[in-house]
Amino acid sequence: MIYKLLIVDDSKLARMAVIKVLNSCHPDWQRVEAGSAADALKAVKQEKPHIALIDFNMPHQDGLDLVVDLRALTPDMPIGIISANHQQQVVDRARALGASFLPKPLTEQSLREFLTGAAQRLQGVAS
Amino acid sequence: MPAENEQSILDGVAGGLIVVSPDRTVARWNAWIVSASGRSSSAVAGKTLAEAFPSANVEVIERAVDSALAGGASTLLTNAMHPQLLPLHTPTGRPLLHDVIVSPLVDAGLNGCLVQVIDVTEATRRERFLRDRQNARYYALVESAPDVILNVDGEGVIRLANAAAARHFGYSAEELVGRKAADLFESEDAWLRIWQSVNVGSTSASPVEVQVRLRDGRLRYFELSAAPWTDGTRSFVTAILRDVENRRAAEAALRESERQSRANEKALAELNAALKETTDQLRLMDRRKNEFLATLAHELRNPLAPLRNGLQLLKIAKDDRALVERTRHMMDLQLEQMVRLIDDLLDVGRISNDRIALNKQTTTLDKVIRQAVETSNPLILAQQHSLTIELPAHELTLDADGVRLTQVFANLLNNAAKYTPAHGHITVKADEHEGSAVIRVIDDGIGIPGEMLPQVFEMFMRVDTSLERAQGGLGIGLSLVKRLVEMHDGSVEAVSRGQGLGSEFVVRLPLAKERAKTAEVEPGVTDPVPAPKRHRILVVDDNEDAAATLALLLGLMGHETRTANDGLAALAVTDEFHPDVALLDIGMPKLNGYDTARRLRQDSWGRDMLLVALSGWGQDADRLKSSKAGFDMHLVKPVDIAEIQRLLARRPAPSHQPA
Amino acid sequence: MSAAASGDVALSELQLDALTELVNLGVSRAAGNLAVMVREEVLLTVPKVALMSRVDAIRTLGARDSRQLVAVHQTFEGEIVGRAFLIFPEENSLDLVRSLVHSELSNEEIIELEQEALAETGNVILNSCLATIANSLESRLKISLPEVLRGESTQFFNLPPPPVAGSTVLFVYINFAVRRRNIEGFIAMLMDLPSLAALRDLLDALIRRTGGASRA
Repeated sequence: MIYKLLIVDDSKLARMAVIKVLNSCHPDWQRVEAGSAADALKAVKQEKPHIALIDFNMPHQDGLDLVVDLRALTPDMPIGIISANHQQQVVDRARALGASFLPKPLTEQSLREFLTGAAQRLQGVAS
Repeated sequence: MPAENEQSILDGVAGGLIVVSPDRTVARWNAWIVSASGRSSSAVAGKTLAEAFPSANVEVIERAVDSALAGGASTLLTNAMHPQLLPLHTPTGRPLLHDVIVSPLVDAGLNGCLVQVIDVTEATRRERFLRDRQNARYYALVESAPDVILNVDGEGVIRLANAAAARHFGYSAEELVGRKAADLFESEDAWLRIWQSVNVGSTSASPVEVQVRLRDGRLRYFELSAAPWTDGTRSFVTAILRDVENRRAAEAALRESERQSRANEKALAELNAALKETTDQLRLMDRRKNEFLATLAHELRNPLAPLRNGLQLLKIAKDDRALVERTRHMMDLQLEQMVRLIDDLLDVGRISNDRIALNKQTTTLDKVIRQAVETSNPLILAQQHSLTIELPAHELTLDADGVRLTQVFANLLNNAAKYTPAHGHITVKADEHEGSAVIRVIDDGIGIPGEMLPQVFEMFMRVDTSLERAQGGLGIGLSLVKRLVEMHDGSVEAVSRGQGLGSEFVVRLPLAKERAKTAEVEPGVTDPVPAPKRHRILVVDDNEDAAATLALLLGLMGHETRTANDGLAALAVTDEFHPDVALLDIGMPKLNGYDTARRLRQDSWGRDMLLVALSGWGQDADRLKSSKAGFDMHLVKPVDIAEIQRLLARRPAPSHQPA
Repeated sequence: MSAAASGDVALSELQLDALTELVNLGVSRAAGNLAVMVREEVLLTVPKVALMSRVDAIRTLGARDSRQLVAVHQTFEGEIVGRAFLIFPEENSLDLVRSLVHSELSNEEIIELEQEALAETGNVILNSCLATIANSLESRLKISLPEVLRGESTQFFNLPPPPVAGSTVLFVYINFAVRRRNIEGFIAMLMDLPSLAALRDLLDALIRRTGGASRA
């Protein structure tokens, strides 16, 4: 199944890093990039991605707020929070919003795990 | 450099050196560590630190090692933050206090890191010792202070309390530390004011008295002073509290004793003033009394001369009936005057001793006024004044002693007559007003000066002494008037527009509830004596003339009389004469009146006699004595013949007449 | 993020982006460590990375904070050379120490520990920050031991550096706060020009490594 992945991070480098890892897991999957929370919301409406990966530490609106907004639009979308900030409190907040937590720097293993889980959930919902 | 040289350099270092390989195992360490840990270098080579020191808290060091190897970071681990990282001992066996520094070894041939161990035992100990000594000094300073010392932090919480705090407040230091300072004080205001002024930056606020609530619940006064200080980052306030309860008590006691002594002084001054006033009063009274006595003597003598002259006249002119009559009349008046004076005098005594007794009966104002007018008429006529009487149409009933009220109005009329120049006008107006009779006696005479008005009713008070002397009178009258009126629950006041402008005396008397209906005893008017009864009367008096003249008078009235001049003689005469009436003087030699009466009463004959005491004394006590002795009546000398006549009139005629 | 340029040394937008992301990584790691130490969440701002003159750097910092400060200072040297500071307002320092020491100590004991506690804490934080950056850049740095300084920001930034003093510096600034405690401060880093050139090269290498074999 080919999915469309939304990558949200204000750092281009970070987005590049994610894409690089994605390429090693699912090179065929589509990807949409957004550099801010506002752009992300627009992208969701236009591109309708299946899965989202969101950086926690962004200016203007942090990743968790964006998750809240996304949930309003797409309650069932699998979402992953990527962050260099591994503090337990952040992890807990992500989980509370039904999002997974992936530490930066992003490893292939952690991304693969997340995407697999995301795909399973999407298939479960679809069927 | 050969390894041995390296090793000896390492061993020469006065401190521990552990070389850690990139694989986190110990490559080697120096002699210092061997000595401090008791483990040889070879024993630990190739082991990780955790393996080398299984019981120690080496994770911290291992993390630092990782940090050095991976990131090139140097790490400082101090003894203060991480005590006893490694199990090391000094040569004497004591625990070796140490800092650890982990730093990377970045060199072409030598990767890995170096763990340095630095002995800080002595330094730590010295520091601690100095600090302790310093602290001890300050501690002793604070703890030995007799006053309470509190250290309060920026939030108003007590951080330190010295021993004095426990002594004075009863709270232990533990109980005080952590509490808000404001809680200690009875009123938060005092603390807040000091707190604010201290925190605003004044170097120290001046002391303030506050009440502290002690642990046992009592309140006690302390003097609070405070000063701020800062340790660089945080500010504190030192509060010092001094117990001033005793001082306050002493101050209060002092103030109280001062107040007392001032009060005493004031009281003393007042007493002195009162004493002076009383003394002045007494002097005044004394003076007046002396004047009074002088006047009395004078007044009493006044009638004596005409009386004496009169007697002479009667002797000489006994055939001139008209002259005799005029003389008799004059003598009568003079006697009246004397009697009145003496009555007044007796009344003075009674007033002073509060012994006037009223004989209240229902009477009318009309009667009282008319009788008073009759009494004063001679004087009014003599002065040729015109007298106008205005009484209301309806009867005004009084519950009063008619005799006394007559005395009152007679007195007022006499005064009006005396103090008005001849051909004056006197008016008596009576009216009813709100349950009282209001009687005004108005004259157009010499009047009363304003400043004397308040004093006219005082004893011995005379307005114009020269005039008084000319007119006669003792100055007792008005005080008697006031007393008598007040005894009737009434009031009297004097009004005058001033000297030469006449006077008005206003008497108010409460009206009786019932109208007069019973027959009253008519005072002072001589009834015509009814059908003559002939009595046998014994007159006993050691004054022969007195006895003789009285007996003569009675004889002229148609009675049979005998006299005796002492008690024994009286008894003898009684045995023989069998009188039905005996008039006995009390003060007699051989047997006084009382004893005579008692003896007479023992007689069968004497039991039914009318015994009348004639006495110069008329007080209640005297009357009582007479009555106890057996007397039926008690008359006061000089005796009013009309009184005797009335007595006799009431008495039935004797049943039989002796020979 | 802002593009920065000064003189003939400039960092491209992507390079700045990469640097910011690096710093973010480093500081997040450091914050994570601090959070473990004080057992509270540590909140971070987005890093500000800019090239500016030393004077401007001082002014910027001074404008943010005029209080008396306490700073833990470490130098780093290798392919890039510079200083890093962990800075607190002096009035918070004891609160930081108290939150590091998880037992009831009296004021006096806390004060006694202050120096060591600040040194060690600064040490851990700056180490994790710098080490992370160094690792990401695959460049080995030698990081000094910590030194505790007190004063105003102007004094810190005017220290004669072990590296040659230049007039342009790379100024990195992140604000942090410990939730539920009265603790906040910032991490600042200064690097001078010669290091900048080396840094640029390192960043390019990083970008290549990251973006390599990408389709985007």
